[in-house]
Amino acid sequence: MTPFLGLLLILVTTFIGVRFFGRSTVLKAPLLSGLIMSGVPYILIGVILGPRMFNFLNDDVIIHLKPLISMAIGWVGLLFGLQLRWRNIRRFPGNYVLFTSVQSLVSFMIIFLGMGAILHFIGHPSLRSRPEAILILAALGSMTAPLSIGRIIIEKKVKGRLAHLLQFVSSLDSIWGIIIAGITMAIYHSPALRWISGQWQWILLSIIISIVIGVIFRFLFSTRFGQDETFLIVLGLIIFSSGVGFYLRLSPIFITMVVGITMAQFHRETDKVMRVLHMAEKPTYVFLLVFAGASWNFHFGEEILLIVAFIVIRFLGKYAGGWISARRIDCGFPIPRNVGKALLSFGGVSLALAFNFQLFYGGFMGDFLMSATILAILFFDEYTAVSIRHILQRQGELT
Amino acid sequence: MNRIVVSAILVLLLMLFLTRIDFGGDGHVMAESMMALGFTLVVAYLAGKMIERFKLPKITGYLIAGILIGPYFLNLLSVEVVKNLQLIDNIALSLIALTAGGEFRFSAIKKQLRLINSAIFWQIIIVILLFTAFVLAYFKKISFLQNESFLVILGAGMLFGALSIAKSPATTIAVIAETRAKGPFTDFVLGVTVFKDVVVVIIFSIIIAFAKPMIMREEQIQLIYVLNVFIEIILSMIFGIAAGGIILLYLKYIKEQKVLFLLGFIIFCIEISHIFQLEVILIFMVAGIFVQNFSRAGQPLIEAIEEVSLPIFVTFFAIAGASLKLPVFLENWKLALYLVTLRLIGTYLGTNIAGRVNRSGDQIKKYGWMGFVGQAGLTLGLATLTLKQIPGPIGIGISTLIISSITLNQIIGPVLFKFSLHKSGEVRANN
Repeated sequence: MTPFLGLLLILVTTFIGVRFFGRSTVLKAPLLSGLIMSGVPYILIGVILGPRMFNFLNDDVIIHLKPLISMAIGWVGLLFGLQLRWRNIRRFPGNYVLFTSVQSLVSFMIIFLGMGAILHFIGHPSLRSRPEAILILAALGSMTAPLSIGRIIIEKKVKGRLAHLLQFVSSLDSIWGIIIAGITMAIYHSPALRWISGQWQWILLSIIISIVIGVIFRFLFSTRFGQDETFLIVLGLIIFSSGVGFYLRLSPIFITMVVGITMAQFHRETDKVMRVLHMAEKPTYVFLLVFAGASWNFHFGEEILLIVAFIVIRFLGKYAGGWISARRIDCGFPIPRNVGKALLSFGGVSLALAFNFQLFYGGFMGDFLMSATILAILFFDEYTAVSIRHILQRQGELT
Repeated sequence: MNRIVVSAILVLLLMLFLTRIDFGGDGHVMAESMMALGFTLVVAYLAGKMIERFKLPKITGYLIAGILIGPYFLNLLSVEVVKNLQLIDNIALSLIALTAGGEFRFSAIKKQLRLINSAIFWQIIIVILLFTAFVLAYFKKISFLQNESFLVILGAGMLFGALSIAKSPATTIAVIAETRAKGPFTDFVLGVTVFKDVVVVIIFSIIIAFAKPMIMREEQIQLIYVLNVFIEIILSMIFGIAAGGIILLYLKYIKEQKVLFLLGFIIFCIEISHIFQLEVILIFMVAGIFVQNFSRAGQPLIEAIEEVSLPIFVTFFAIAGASLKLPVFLENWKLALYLVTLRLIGTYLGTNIAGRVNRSGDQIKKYGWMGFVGQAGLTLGLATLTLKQIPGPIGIGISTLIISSITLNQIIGPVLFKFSLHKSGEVRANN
């Protein structure tokens, strides 16, 4: 199969996926709704089409379509960054940000230490010798996907302070994971250039370039453009900035997020860009899922125990993160100690980060991170479909 | 406007800085191509906006931006990157052809059918005769024909003519889309463009079938080649009708995610056309004509294309600019200038005669020829085919000179066409 036909196949799947994604008729079975909403069916379609089964999307096709993945990663990063408008965040109680950060960083530390210890003693040699894999695994594990929480709140018309807090946390806590991933990829950057050799210089370069791109495009967007023109420039911005990340071997998701944050600080321009990004949000996510399934290289024997360990440790990490935050941080209302169970939802940004890692490092480590992410999506999204309802019910915000 | 200029300069400086960082290694070109694609999209579009200020068509801006950032000037896009980015050419040409077909209304063209046929006929006859006569008269100034026999020179002259009658449908469509021109003058240029695209391929195949044995000193004329072209064209048309039918059914019954559907369907048809060696442009022109004229889905089709066409137009023309071979042009600029002038004269005479014969309005007699100057992909494709059919110094010489003249024609073509549309009073966009 040629790369063009491979792209066609993914486009068709994406097309069908977008048509059925989130249709209420398929969501009536409560046990299946978590799986369907998390996008597991698209991952499975990817697996069926990929080299592991029918080989329609063979390795050659997957390699040729990698720039599109980089673009989708950039899309996710920019969309996330644009949501981080300081003026909006400031409207929420200050402790919400603290709550978000503490639960995220505690989860990160627990996953990092837990997985680090396990991999040190029983892990695969290639994983044991590469701490960047563990750092990124912990970073993506510390993130919460907002999809499940958002859907329950909208569907059940939930109104309450806990629901509000959960929505805030799940929309924001990926920032720490992306920052850690960005720094990790800069620190473990190779090869060095003549004039950039130190790790801090790489970190500085990725931040400076992202801010420069953000400032230039913010300046450009202050010109009045029509909708098709805005679409063109946003597309150019995403391809360019994620291409810069790909080219410099720095994290594209980090770069586009910083670009987004820089631009987000200017109200009017951000709204125009956000509208365009939302237009392609579903196709981009479905595309990522199908591609994830196709490029999923699962080493069952070697990975399965490690993935089970990751799922257990992530559960403990998120639980502990929520527990510590709920005990220590006063958000103005009683927060259940088991709030972390409602923050286990896993998805878009984590998947993009796992892809980011696989694009750069590949090999067994890349495969392991992808497998861990895919199986964690499968498990946690089914689990959170129940746990979020349960916690909100006990809080009296959902009847 | 100042913001656009400043932003373009800043992006350019950033790219200059980035391209100085060379990592090498696997996947480097792929990463560079991606960065270059985003950069090209933004910078070329801004160049188009800037040039619009001088009443010039945006696509001239895209082309100039492509030349400036391309491998022969600032070298921000290397030859390898340009080659990688040319992968989107087929998708772009398919969309352009679909637009051309979708804009083609039988009801509007019917009134001018005689004029259109006549313009095509006279343009072809006059251009081919002029070029053949020119080559026969001045062959001593053309290095690769100096010591050749009369038959070889005659064959070469005919080929020069055949290659010069082709025009760029993409340029026509891009300028019409930009100016939102509508009216009899626009219909005339569009009609000639669509029909001529088919006729040119047939004429070229006939001429090369005769010219090849003259130049290569073979005994037999390969009419089988002409027959193959006819079969290819008929099959492409049939496939185009089928493709149009599928688009029509989709627009009628499903309607959702039109852009995603169109992109997927175009890729599917490109693959099929490769397998069966069909003409992609023809397939989509026919598909567009079918949807526009045999259903009410013409307008939704055009709207769906418009949603995605701007980035594709910008990239396509910028990459076309970057791939124009400036060194080849600079080496042959004097002869290229002759060829361009001769082509302009031939096109003017052909259109003017057709106008007089059919008693058309002054606008077509005076400005009609300006719609047929731009040259790009189709001519380039035919020049490459010439090289393939006639290997050796003469084939190389002909294709090199034609490629040199494409550079000039493609720069002046859109400018002249936009000017003619303004003169015809059919421009509706606020430029």
